[in-house]
Amino acid sequence: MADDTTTPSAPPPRQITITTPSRRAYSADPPTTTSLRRSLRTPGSNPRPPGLSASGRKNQNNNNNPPTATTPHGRAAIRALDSRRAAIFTPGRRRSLRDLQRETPRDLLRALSRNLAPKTEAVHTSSSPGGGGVAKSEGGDEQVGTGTFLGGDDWEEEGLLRVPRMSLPIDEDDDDEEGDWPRPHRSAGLEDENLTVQSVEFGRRDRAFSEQPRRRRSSMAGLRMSDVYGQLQLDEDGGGRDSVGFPPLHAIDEDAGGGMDVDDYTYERLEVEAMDARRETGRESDFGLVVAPPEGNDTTVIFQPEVADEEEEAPLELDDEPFGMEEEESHVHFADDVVGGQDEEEQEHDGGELDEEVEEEAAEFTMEVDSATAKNAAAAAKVRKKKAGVKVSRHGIQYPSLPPAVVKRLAQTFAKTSGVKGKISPDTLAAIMQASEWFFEQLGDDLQAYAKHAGRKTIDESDILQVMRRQRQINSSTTPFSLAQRYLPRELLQELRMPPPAPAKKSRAPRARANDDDEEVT
Amino acid sequence: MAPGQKLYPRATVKKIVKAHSNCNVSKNVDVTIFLDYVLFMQSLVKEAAIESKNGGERGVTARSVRKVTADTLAKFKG
Repeated sequence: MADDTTTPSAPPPRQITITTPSRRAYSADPPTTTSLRRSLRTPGSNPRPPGLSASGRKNQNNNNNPPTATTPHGRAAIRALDSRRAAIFTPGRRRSLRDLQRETPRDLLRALSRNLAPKTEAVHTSSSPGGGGVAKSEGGDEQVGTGTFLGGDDWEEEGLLRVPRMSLPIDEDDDDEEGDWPRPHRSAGLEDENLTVQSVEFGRRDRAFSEQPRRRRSSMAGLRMSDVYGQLQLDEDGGGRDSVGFPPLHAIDEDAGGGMDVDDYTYERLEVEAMDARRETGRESDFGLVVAPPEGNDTTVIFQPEVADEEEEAPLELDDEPFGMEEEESHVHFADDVVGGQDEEEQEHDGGELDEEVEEEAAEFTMEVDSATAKNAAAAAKVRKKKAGVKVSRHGIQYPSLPPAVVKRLAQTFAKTSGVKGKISPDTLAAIMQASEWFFEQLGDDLQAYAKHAGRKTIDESDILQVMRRQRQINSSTTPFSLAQRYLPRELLQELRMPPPAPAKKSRAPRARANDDDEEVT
Repeated sequence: MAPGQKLYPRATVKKIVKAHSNCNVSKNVDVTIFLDYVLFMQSLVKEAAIESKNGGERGVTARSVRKVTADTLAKFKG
C-alpha cells in the first residue's frame, strides 16, 4: 500500500517488513500500518519507544528487519546501518533531523541526489526496489515472508523470548521454516547444518583441541604446571558434565535466553550421534573430552558449580600424598605442607580414572566442554589463590616456601651455638628466609646441572654429594654421615642410613682403602 | 645442635628443590639436601653473628644477615 512504485504485487505488510532500506515508502506509508505490523510481529520484544520510531522512520522499517535489538549497542548499530543504507539508497525527500544535523557529507550527497532525483528516478527505483524486490518476491512465494526474514535476522540478534520450549519436535526444526516465525529463528540460531557438522566432527576436534592446550601450556609453564592444568581441566570437565543443561555459549549470546531449551534438545540429539561416532573412531587423547574451540565463550563458567571445584581439588591433593608417602611414611604430619606440585605419575593416574569416567558418562556428555579452557583458567586462578605463599620458580613450577617456624628454629639453634644471645627478630628472620630462598634456588640449579651432566632427569644422591664436596662441606675427613650425625635428628639419620648406605659408603670407601693400605704397609 | 624435636618438612624441601631444578628428586636425597641447608644456615648465622659483633650490634640483626648472605651463598655455590 505504501509503495506503489516499488511493490505493486506483493502484500504491503510483508514488503515493508522486508525492505528496510526503502525510505521512500514511508512517505507514502501511513504510520499506523507499520506500527500495526510491528505489533503483530514482535509484540513483547520491541523495546523501542514509539516516539523514537516516529521521529526516525527508518528505525521503524529497520525494526522489522531486526525485530529485536535487545541491547543498546545492537540498536545503535542497527540505527547506524540504517542511516548509512538510507544515505546510500535513498535520495530522500526527507531526512531525519538527526542526519541533517550531524552529517554534512551526507547533506551534500542528499543535495546531489535531490538534483538528480527527477532525472534518474529509474535508478532509485532499481536500487531500492532491487533490494526490496527480492524480498518481496520471496515474500510472495512463501506466504510467510516474515519468517524467512526473521531467520536472517537471527544472525544478528535474538530477542524472541517467546520461543516455545516443549513444543519443538526435534525433526521438524530443519524442515519447517515456513511455519511460525519462532521456529525459523531457532533453526537459524542453531545454524543447523554447521551444528551437525560440528557435533559429528566433535570427536576429531576433541583430540586436536585437547592436546593443543596442553602442549601450549607445557611450553609456557613447564611440565608440571601443564600437568596440573590438565588435571584440573579434566576435573572441571567432570564437574561440567553435571551442568549438562546449558547450551553452547553462542546460543546463549544469540538467544536472549528464550531459545536455550530448544538448543539443548537439538544438541543432545546431535551429541548422541557424535558420541557414537567418537566411540567408533576411538579416542586418541587421554580423556576424550572436548576442549572447546578457544573461542568458546566464557559465560558458561558462571554456571560451573563451585562445589565441584573443591571436590575435585581434594582428590588431587590426596593423590599427591601417596606419592610422597612411599618415602615418608613416618612423616605423615608433613602432609599439610604438601601443596601444589603434582607429579607426572599422578597425572597419568588421574588421567586413567577420568578416562574411565568419561566412558561411563559418555552418554551424558555435552557441548558444555566448550568452555573447558575457560574453566581451566578459572581453576588455575583458584589454585593460585588458595595457596597464597606459593611462588613460582624459574621453570614455572610452583613451590611452597619453607615454613618460617622451621627456619627460625634452626637459626636460633645456631645463633646460640655461635654465642649470640637474644631472639631472632622478625626482620632478621625475613632476611634469613630470603637467604635460604636464594640458597635453594642456587642449590637447585647446581643439582640440575649435575644431574643433566650425568644424563639423568633425576637428582641423585651422587649429585648432592658432589655439590657438598665442592662446597667443601665434605672432604676426606668429614663424611656426609658424620655431618648428618652432628646436625640431623636421629630419625632423619636413620632415613639417611637405612635405605641407601651409599653416601656413607662412597666417602668412606677411599678412606677404608687407604687404611687398608696403611695396614698393609705397616 | 640438632634442631628440635620436630623433623623438617621433607615434602616441602623436596618440592622446593624440584621446582628450582626442574628435575625429579630421588629417594632420600632430600635428607642430604636438608643437611646441606642446615650447614648453610649454620654458616650464615655464624657469619652474621660475627658481622654483628664487629658492627657492635647485639644479637643477629637483619642488616648483618643481609650483609653476609652474598658471601655465604657464594661459599655454598656448588
